[in-house]
Amino acid sequence: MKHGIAFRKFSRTSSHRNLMLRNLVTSLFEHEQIRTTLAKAKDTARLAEKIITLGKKNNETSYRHAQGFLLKASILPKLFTTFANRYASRPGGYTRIHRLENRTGDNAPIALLELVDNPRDFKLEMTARAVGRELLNEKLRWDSPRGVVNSGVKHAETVVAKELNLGGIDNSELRPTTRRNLQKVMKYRSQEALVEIGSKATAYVETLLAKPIAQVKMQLRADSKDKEKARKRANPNFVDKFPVLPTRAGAAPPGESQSAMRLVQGALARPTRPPKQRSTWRPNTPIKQATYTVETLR
Amino acid sequence: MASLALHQTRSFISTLRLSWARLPIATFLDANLELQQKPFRWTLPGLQSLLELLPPIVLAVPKSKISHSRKAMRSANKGLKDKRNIVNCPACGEPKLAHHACRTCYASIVSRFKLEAKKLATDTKKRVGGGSWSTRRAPLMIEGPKDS
Repeated sequence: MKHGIAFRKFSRTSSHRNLMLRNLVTSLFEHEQIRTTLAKAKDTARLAEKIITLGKKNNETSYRHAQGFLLKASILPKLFTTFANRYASRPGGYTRIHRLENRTGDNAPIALLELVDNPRDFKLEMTARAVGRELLNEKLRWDSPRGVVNSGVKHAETVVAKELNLGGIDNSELRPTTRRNLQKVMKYRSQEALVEIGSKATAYVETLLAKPIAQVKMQLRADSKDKEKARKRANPNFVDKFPVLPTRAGAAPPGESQSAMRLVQGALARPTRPPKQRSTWRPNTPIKQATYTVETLR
Repeated sequence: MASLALHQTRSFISTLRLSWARLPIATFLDANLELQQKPFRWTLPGLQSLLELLPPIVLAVPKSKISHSRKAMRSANKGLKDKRNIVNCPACGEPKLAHHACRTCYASIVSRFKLEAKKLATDTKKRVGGGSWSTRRAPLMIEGPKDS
């Protein structure tokens, strides 16, 4: 039984365990983003937040305490200046854990542990990209793919500024989840971050628009190389036309409304009923939506 | 069971002794038998091996080969389960596990940050070193002529 016991042992002696966690916390403060196993990340996050609280206190005692805990003296000033200023108005919750894919060797669950609002904030990046993609989807509802390529998506900043004040049930261009993430990311940040998100979203839209064309070009280049090789070898059994970037099953192009499970099953899925007006936040959805692929662009 | 076997062997030996005792040559044979029974042996008489001390239930063995169909029936429930927690990444549209970070997005973000960091490092090194067109050169390793 392990009822109510909050600490993990990690199959290590107490001295080894404590030193390992101190090392992880020191590395987290040094790099502000580390990748480790999920269990270690959870324990490290707990300790790291306590040390950041010490940094916020800014005492003689808290300094000595942190000095005794951290294993690199060069990180102490960073803790008492950078982090203290960054998290001055934030009441706790200074770390964030993202679950990554399991490790190939031993199938261990791996996590990305990062300090919130750090220069390489992963959640901010993903939210900006999601905003960009959703604005593109919205455009594709009313415009043809060719039209969207010609006009582009430029109003990301204004949309982002507007979305900050909306609630969960309001209808607008973003999904409720993306809106919530946007609000969370912007909660203790300045207006500069808003501009940053807008510019990242716009840049990502350009990437999305260029992606299928770039893939086709890469495939053509690879095919021509293979044909040259085959001609040189004069081998009748030479197989060309391997996909350069094999598209994974269930990959949704921009504008796709079907779910991933439905796409993944493909022809083996159960036949779906015609789409009903199910979601309340997307009124007046046209029945047939154009997805953004090379075929629809032609 | 083993004790029974032991008892049986002991009683067998005693009956043997008794039957031999009735014969006329019993007297000196009797002495021989005594001598034969006296020396101590590690193995108990009448046992083929120590395995006979174990009860037969321990030495269980399948009676016949399990048929292909019965074997297949037993492994009917052992198949791999499908993953139902597959969703589309809100950024790139690739399939990903629910509540996990998208692997393509993570890889692209991390590689871009590393590229930027590398570029920044080389740029600062160039700037510190005076740039590509700097006239500052490293001092010559050859000593100048000494004043005699």
